[in-house]
Amino acid sequence: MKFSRRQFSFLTGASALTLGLSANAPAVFGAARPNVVVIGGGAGGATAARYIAKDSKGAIHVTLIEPSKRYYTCFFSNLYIGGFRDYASIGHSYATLATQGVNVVHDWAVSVDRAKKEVVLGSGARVPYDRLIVSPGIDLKYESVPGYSVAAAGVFPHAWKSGTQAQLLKARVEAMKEGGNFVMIPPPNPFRCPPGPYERVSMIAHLLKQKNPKAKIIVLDQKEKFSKQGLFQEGWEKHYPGMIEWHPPSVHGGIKNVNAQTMEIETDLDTFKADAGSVVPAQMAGNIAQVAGLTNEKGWCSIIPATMQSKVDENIHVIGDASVASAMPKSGFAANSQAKVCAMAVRGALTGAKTFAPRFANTCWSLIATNDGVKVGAKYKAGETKIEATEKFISKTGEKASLRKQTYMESEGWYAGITADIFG
Amino acid sequence: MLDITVLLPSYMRWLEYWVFLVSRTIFAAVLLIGFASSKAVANKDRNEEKIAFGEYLSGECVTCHLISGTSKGIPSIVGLEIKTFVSVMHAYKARKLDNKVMTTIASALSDEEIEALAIYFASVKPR
Ligand SMILES: Cc1cc2nc3c(=O)[nH]c(=O)nc-3n(C[C@H](O)[C@H](O)[C@H](O)COP(=O)(O)OP(=O)(O)OC[C@H]3O[C@@H](n4cnc5c(N)ncnc54)[C@H](O)[C@@H]3O)c2cc1C
Repeated sequence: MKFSRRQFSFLTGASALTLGLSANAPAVFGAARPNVVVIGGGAGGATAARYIAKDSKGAIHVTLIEPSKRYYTCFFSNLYIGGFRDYASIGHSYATLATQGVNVVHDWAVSVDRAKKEVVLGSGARVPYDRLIVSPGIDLKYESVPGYSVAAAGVFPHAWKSGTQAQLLKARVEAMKEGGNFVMIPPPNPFRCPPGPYERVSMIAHLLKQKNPKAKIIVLDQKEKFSKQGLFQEGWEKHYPGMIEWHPPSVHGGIKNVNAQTMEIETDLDTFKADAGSVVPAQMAGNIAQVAGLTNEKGWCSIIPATMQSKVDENIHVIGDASVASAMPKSGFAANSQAKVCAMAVRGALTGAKTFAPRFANTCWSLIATNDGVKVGAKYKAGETKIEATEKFISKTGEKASLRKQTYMESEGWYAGITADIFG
Repeated sequence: MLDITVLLPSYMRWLEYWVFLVSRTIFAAVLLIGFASSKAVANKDRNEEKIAFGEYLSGECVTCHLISGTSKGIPSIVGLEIKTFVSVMHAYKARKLDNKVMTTIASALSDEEIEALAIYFASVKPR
């Protein structure tokens, strides 16, 4: 027997109703199967889509809007650059999500009609939602670094978003002349993956040490201090002595200009001639968050911690890098954790599913050199207005090599675990 | 009141006695079975509730521990014996074991939460 679409949604709606009632549902739910739309199939969005589809057992219709057919993780892209991973190993398809009940639509969300509760796609199609989850990651403020632009990113790749930039960066490092200079410009706070720029420096040093050992790495930071600083600087001295110079703004006086033609980077201190480089500009929530009117004056989306609901629209949840998660860093781990809290809140609201106290956690592993892994992490709780850390930890300087190796092995395990949890 | 059974022949009184005994036993047995099975149902419900709670809590574990039961640098916790799971988690909670990720996670879990997780993971079959 075949159901027409209408009969089908009527039946599943009815089963949602009984499910809801048996779970002591507080309210009456419509006969139609509720719609959840998720914008962005990254660490946050794909997790939320998968958990809602899985845990609602078909009672909620989930549509995921994501332009890319394959998601290349930014996490472990540094390990790819360092030669510890091949590029294919950090790519993930949406095929399993589709078989697990998520309607995956490869398109851009171009606007959100909040009054009608519809997402408008690049194709012009409109997708109605009862709840919308927005997880578009970040966009870059290219102009925040004078002289930097989309075009200049073809010379000085940012490699800070999923895609081919990491491959371009690796190719340019490998093509550097012998004894050449690599210039890295890390972003100002707040930004995606606080230890990321320094793990990148470590991995480029690792690559150069083998292929071009006289080369130098100059880091022109836009901050006075950085994540896991003591650990990274200890590791740089140990594994790459004399190779890496790090200058904070109090030393270089600020980036005055980046010239992609002459390959010159001008600061108060000096003009640096680069043979290759990476510029990571200031960041903001992915553009669609702004278009939908969800961002604050700083370009990020304020949320209610317990549910990850937008402070400006109760039918919209914002998770991952785009949200203001206060004590939680912008990481894939954090996005995945927030996605599960959000998925539960959405199921509770739409089908009356039982909800539990929200739980948040994060750990960021970084690789400094072969078998030299470090980590930083915390547990968090949903405070009234902010997500607050309850307990924190960080690797220590001077740890035994065996522990560092174990930490690295653990990061490999985490990568396998989280990518399975995100993409099924 | 006159007990009419005294009027019956004695063999019939015996019969009645037996009928009475047997029916009382059946009644008791029925009661007992009913009681036991309702208790079993209650236990089963409670167990399912714990599994459901454990499954919710497990969201935090499966970010790192593969739900398929394979281990790649992080040990598998799928299909572990309840006893083992509980004692390892308590060792982390008491900081007798030293992995910082695990001591942090474990110290945020109550005894009931650890039990629910143990019951849930014991119920999952490695793939
Ligand atoms: C070099 C580097 C190293 C990192 N290392 C780690 C690490 O070791 N551990 C860790 O936890 N995190 C790490 N991160 C951070 C991690 O990658 C991000 O925090 C995480 O991806 C955030 O998830 P998200 O869902 O917010 O955004 P994303 O994962 O970026 O996903 C956003 C998705 O939304 C899509 N999208 C955007 N706009 C639209 C639109 N209008 N319509 C439809 N789709 C749209 C995009 O195509 C993208 O797929 C690293 C990042 C970098 C750059």
